[in-house]
Amino acid sequence: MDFTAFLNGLAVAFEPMRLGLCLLGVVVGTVVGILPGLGPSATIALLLPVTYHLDPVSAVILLAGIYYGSQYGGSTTSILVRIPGESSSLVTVYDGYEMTKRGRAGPALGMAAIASFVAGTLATLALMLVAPALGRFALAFGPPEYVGLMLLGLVLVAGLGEGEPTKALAMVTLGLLLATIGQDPVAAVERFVFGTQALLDGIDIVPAFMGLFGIAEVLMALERHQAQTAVTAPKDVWPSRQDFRESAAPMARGSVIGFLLGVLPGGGATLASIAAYAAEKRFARNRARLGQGAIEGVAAPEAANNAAATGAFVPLLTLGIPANVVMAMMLAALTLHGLRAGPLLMAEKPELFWGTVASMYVGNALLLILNLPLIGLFVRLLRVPYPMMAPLIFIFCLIGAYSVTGRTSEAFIMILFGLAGYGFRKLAFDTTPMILALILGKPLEESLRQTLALAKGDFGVFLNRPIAGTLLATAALVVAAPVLRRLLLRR
Amino acid sequence: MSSPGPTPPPPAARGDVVGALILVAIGLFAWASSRGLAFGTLGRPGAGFFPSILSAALIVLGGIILVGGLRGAGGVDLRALREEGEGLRRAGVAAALLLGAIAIVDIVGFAIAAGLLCGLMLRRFGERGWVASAGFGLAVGLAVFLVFKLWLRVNLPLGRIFA
Repeated sequence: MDFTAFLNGLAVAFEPMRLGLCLLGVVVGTVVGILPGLGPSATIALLLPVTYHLDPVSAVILLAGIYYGSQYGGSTTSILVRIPGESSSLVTVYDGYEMTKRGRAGPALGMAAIASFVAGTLATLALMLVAPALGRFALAFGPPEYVGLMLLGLVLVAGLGEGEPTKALAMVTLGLLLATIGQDPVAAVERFVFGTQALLDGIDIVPAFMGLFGIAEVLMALERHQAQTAVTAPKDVWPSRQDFRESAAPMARGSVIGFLLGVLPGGGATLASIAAYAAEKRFARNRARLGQGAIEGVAAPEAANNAAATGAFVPLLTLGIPANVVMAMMLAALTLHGLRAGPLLMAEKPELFWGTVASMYVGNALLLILNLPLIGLFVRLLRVPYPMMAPLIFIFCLIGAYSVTGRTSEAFIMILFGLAGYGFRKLAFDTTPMILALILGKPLEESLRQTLALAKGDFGVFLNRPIAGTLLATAALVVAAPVLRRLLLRR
Repeated sequence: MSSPGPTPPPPAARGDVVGALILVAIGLFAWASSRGLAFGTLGRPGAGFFPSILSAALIVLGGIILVGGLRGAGGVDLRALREEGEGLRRAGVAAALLLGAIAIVDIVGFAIAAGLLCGLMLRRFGERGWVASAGFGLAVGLAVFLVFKLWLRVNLPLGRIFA
């Protein structure tokens, strides 16, 4: 690990403006996590236009703070009112709400914040150790390796995400197809433009995100007639010594599981928290208590979702591959600032990588300081009526769409994606793989065409290059796994 | 001899069938549209290479989902969706209001359209009185104009009536 670079990163993170943005990010993230129906991806999409005016390091520090801050906030409603603020806090409901019913909401909230802090800090340390090595390894990557890597990332997202793999693969294909709209990346030939100026540059990622995750989310919430929640904040949130003893091992296990699943494309914080809870069900000393208000049932998933949020930065910053939809948004933010995420990023923009890493330590500490005493204040946000929030989210989405080009066509594209997102969700088709494919579509096509041109159309090029071959073989295995499993079960 | 059991109910129309038909339709449309683009060769792929492969893949995947849906193997029950009538209407009204606001942005400007959208949504979904809703809309419109147009200088339309 380059310790001097890390010290420089600390200096970057401690600049007053960046410290302020880190604070803003984690506060907004906590609020977003607490409010059901407004996720970090939608919020990052909403705030993306604001980052136009910031330098890239400050923009990433702000957006990263929102992401891991939301993981802190997501547990609050799970524990107090049995409504997960984020899907990654879903399993926290089981023991967290049981603890509330037994009058132990305070220690549950306190342990959620402490577990998030510990896991977030450990995962940042792991990010510092793993990312530079992976980045150096990825410097040897050429177009064939990138084809393999992107295809593996996409099939992992399809295979590990929510919903059925075939449907997810279809959504990946749809996303890749939508990415072909506009000029083709090699010869600048117009494709699927149908004479409209608005489609010439392709579908901009900001209106697409706003539609799929902002508009669709509000429509779903309005349909459910989301009611106002009555909650009271507990006074004493510090867990007892016994609570700490019981939570130490689950917290450590959750941190490791979370980081590993966070690094994996398609893994993400939700899967990490579920896996960590499942691991406790199997390995915890007092596993029979789980589900009945055991503090381990809060510590493990909350540690896991925070570690996963940090782990997801590894493939983004080293390979330029977003592991989940929030990282895709982060990739869009880097692209907007003229940066290309990937192995060269660390060498060309060390202040961005190390500044972001250092800000994560700062942000996690800020979150712990904020979450323990200010929980009552944050909880009051749940009293804001949704009919007031919904139009405000619409307005933010519209501002985001207009900020791209100032053209109304972007707003229409946004609402088109919003309606499509709403429709697909009603039909139980997950749109997350589609948006990741929309982002990776152009670079994938470019790399594939470059590979084929260099190899004169010989697909054997993938077999002659061990890394590309391994990546493609793994991708093929992921696609074939459900079919093979079914065949084996039939026997 | 076993007596025949009660007749099973007809299989519910699955959400997967509808979703798959949409995907197949998009695939067919894209495949037909990409026929006008040069496919090229494997050594020199043209502009139509990637879209043709993808549209074919979408048709195949859509077909697989369709078969599964017709067998009743997966997806949501459309009858359950139909029972959500009031909820669907609420979502429809919200989408229509948003669409309406976008339609008038270029004429009245962003701030007024935003204010109208907020006021009408609060009136419809928050069941507040006209005065409270109008006050909320006015406050949002003014805040949007001051913060985003004047201060942050976001590229928001001013409206033809003010141009």
